Amino acid sequence: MSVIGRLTPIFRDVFGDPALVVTPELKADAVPTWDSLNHINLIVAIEAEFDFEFTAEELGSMTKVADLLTILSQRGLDRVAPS
Amino acid sequence: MTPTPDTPAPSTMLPKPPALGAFEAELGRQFPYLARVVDKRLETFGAPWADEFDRELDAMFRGQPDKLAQAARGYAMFSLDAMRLQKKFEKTRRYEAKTYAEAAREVYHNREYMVDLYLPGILLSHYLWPHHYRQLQFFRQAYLPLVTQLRAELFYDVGIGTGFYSRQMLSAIPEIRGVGFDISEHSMEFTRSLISAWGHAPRYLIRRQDIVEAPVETPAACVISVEVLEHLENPIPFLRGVASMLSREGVGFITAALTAPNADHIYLYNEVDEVISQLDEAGLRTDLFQEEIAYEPKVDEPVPRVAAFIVRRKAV
Repeated sequence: MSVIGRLTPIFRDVFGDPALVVTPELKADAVPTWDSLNHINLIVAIEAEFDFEFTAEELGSMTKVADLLTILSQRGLDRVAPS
Repeated sequence: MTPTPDTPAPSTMLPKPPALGAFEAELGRQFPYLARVVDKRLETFGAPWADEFDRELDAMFRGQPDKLAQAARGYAMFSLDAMRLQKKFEKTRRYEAKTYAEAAREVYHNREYMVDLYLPGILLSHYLWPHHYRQLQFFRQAYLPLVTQLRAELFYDVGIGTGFYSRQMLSAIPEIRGVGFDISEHSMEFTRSLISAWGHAPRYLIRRQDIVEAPVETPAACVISVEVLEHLENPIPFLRGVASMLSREGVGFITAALTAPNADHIYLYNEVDEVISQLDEAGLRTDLFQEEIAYEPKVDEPVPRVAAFIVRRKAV
């Protein structure tokens, strides 16, 4: 499964939108429920899915989904899908 | 904050007083999405919230941008750590097993953790976490009038943490003096800094003292203890110590965190009645309490809660 494919159900669950389309260009402004609390929920859910913890610097660099994909790629977490 | 094309703009960009605006900008610089919390709380609690948070930030961080940046980072990482633990708690419904000695070593006596993350995080959470701010409102609206009625000259704060509630007492009641007790040298240092920043140092003493091992013999008309119980393996001896510090006619303010894991939370309270029962066992009668939730739960989701209790000594 692609990384976007793994991220999509997480985004849909956290933001309560089963039709949300997750693209690299997606930003918070396009999602009404993307507030500070749900942003933390999103981070924690992604950490659980990919089994790692973001650093403060990584969190600071994240302004859209593409940045998240870059972080996952740099950590080598975009290669292996869970069985 | 001026949004760049890739920096998410706060949802409404409501006008802020200067210190709060500087904090929002700093939080947004380090953690772009988290800065939205400022507008959200402003929408909920209004201009009085913004004004008092502004004064708090100004007192603590005026002319110290590095410290403000460190506090913003501390708040963000403290919030994130809390939510990580909350998600684990949702599955286990238990706090991670830890003894008081382990928590003391890992947290209370760990300067890097306490000074960089924990204490600034907690201080800012009093304004940024809605359940913490509502607890503060309860303290002001329900407890402080009782202190004023008593014409209390002395209060004790047991487990001062950041010193935030001691500072509230000293600011609200100009004639009162206070003594704060804690076991952490870093809490004492942080509290000393906070109390001094507000100009209250001449009316406040800080003692490094475990009130269970070294009981306080002279009672005071007011005793407060904010979010200490959940840090203990057995809160009853501590509550007995608090009860003995409260004079017969005195009034206490005691709080507890419920279903709220943290790096140093040991004793799990699931329901308010569990706290009331322990207060009773320790000789304290609950006159009034208020419980607040951090956010609306999903179905069967345990969310962090705080409960505050106004107590008096039971008649013998």
